[in-house]
Amino acid sequence: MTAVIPAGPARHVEDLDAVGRRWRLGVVLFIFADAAFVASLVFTYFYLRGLNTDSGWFPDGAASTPIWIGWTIAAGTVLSAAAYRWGHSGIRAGKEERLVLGAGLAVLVVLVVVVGQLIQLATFPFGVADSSYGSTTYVLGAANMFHLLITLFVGLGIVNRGRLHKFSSTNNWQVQIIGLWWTWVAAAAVLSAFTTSFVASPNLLVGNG
Amino acid sequence: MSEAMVEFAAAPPSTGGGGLLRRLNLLTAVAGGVLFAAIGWYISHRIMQLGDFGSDRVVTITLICWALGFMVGIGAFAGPLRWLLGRDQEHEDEMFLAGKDQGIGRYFRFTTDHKVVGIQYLVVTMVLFAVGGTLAMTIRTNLITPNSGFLGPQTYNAVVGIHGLVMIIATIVMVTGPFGNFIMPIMIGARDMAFPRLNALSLWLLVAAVPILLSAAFLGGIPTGWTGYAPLADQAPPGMDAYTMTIIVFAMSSAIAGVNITTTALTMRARGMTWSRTPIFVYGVVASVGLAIPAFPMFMSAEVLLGMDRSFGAQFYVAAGGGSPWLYTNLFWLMGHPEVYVIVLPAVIALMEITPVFTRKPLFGFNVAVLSIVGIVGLSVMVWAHHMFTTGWAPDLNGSFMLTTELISIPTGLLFLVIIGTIWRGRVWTTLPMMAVYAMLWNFIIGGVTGIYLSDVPADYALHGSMFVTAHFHYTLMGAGLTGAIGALFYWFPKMTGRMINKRAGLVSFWLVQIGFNVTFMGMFAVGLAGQPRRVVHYDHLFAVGNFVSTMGAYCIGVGMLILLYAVVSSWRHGAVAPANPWGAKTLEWAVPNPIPLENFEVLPVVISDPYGYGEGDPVLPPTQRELVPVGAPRDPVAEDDTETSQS
Repeated sequence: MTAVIPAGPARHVEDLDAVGRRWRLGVVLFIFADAAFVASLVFTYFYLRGLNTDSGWFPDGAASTPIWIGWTIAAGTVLSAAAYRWGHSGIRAGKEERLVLGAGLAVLVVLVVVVGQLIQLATFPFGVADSSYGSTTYVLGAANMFHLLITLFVGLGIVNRGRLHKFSSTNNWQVQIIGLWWTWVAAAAVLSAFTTSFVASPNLLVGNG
Repeated sequence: MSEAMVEFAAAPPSTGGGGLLRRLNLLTAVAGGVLFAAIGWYISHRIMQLGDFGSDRVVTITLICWALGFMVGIGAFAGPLRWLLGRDQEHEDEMFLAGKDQGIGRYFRFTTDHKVVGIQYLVVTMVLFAVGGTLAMTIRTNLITPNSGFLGPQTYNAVVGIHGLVMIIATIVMVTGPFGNFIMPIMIGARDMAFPRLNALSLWLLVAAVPILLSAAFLGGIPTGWTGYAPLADQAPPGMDAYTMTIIVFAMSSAIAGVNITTTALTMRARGMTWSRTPIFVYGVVASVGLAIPAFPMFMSAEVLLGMDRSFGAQFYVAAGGGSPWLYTNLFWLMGHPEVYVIVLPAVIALMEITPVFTRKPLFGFNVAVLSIVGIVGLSVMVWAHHMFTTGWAPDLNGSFMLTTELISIPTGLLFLVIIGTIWRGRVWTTLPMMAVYAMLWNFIIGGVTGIYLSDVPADYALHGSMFVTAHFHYTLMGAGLTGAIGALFYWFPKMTGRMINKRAGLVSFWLVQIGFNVTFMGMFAVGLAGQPRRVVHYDHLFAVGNFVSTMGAYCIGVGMLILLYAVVSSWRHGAVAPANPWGAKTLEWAVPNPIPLENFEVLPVVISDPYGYGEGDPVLPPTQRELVPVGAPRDPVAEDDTETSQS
């Protein structure tokens, strides 16, 4: 390989757009990794539901969690992502106040959703050890909670940094990449709600497995 | 300079600074880990009364707290907290984090310089190999006679499990850790990794995982082997909790490293370094970590579920509660087979990088090599169930998994052809790195061909769970993987340490390890074919000779590895000072001086030709441009005593 040093000053300068592009790719890859994790949990749910080993997926007399709770949590997460995107579009137009308002609103909604998710986890009408349905539903809820806590952290960071005038119309790549994460968290919450909407096993043979 | 640029050059000089965060190091990390672990244990055991002293819940919480405390103690959370508070790092902070002017102390801190991280990975890898190798010697000593009684059955199982997991982790990081971090960024003409803090984070997560793994020895061991199959894993002692926590922490480390290395290679290559000018080693590293990005989170999820089964009585893998052990095997091998290529690909491709340098020929079939790598990556995620032929899971799919597994031998074979084609009719400069190329070709052929046997369903029914399988995967992971890593170490040692490695000790080590390796595992093939199962503490007298031979071979490897350790340590301390480019190689890492400046390149280079143009004339350069790597530059006197090679 032949390489040359171009003429020019020896200054270590980096284009902000290049930094932003790099971080965007990094976050996309992180989301990809997290998606593999979430996908394996969803696979676990449908696999155990499909197998219904020894009719132990959802034993007779067991209670399930109301489906609307999962969808409400998902709707709250989607709403927070929409609020964040509204804030992001504001900073792209140079409106700092809109970023702080939008991201702040998004954080508040996430906070409410976190409380809702906590209440759901604490009040499931079954225990984690009762059945494989109970175990998988718990773990999906816990994964959602984990997502929400990370989102809360980064959302607070964006609000605070927006308040400190760290972003502008030409320098908002951090807002953008956290928007990518937020969108993914909303999608994962919808996927989780969708998954847990299917309770009864299609495999109802007694003594199967 | 426009505002849309980040400028570092005009920052004030370092004033030394102060503050708590600058005093964090490995000692504070250990202290933090121990403190948090003690608090976690006290709260879970005494206050919340979640279980007895060594119950699964208490052990798990204690180990989680250890990892958290360790990362707090090393300063891993300082960056995110500063970001949250809006207190961005100044140039001075970045230079401190990069380890500027800190001497040897930077190796014990949360240092972001990729070269420091590479050396840290190298040392951690060597420590892991030392632990795993010692356990291997223990296993072979136990198996020297049919009923040696050297280890009891429980201890033997524990030792086999810990040896397996230690070695798997060591082999996963042995190339992408040290060389992917130290060499790859310079090779592509970058000043550092894309995310330097994440680079340090991945390293220190790995370090945090090591004591967790070793704690298994004091918690009843890992009686399942490294695979941790349910339902045995559900019933195992608390050492299994250490197993799950190790994998969870290690999977985080691997995913972070994967994201970092991939982003670096995709976005930070020097101007002019098109994909056809990108060194093949970069492809190997990216393929490895690219596979790890989706694979390790699945591994992590399998272990999270296992941990919930054990600590909370969840029913993921327990058939009586509606779970299924097949779920574990699927999740595990969805990671487990790609993981083989995570280990082997970068090691083999490191040797592919070395081959043109010592044959003084361009890499034969560069495009074929790239396509083969892509083919292996693609097929490796479609073969997992060949590990499950005998479990009874989806027997109707056995045929298709047999086919995909056998298909993967085609791109793997093409990699062989690329290396052989590069050596073909070359006047080879037979150095230590080149000898590793030959050894890998020999070993990997054996490992690959025996893999084809095992991919065949009827043959697998006969050989599954036998010593034959053990010998096969050692030929692959050790014969190809570790040999590749050792070859890479020989090759890049002068750049990483600034010293030439002791050639005589290296040669003795090489022959002892390679002869010992083949003796050990040929013996294992023999007893495996004769029917000896793996993971048994006693065996029939029928297998006595083969096991004795294997044990002698293993001792030979052990002595060879000790000599290698001596060669590395003594050369590092007292070896001949290495010139910047002792091999006359053309990739960019050899264009920087020894010792390598903190930011590698004062001005980023522009690449104007491919990396394997040995014997080709220089392009005419404009007078304003200074050449970094003169084509056909004379080799340094240090290397002059070696056999001459051709400049074809």
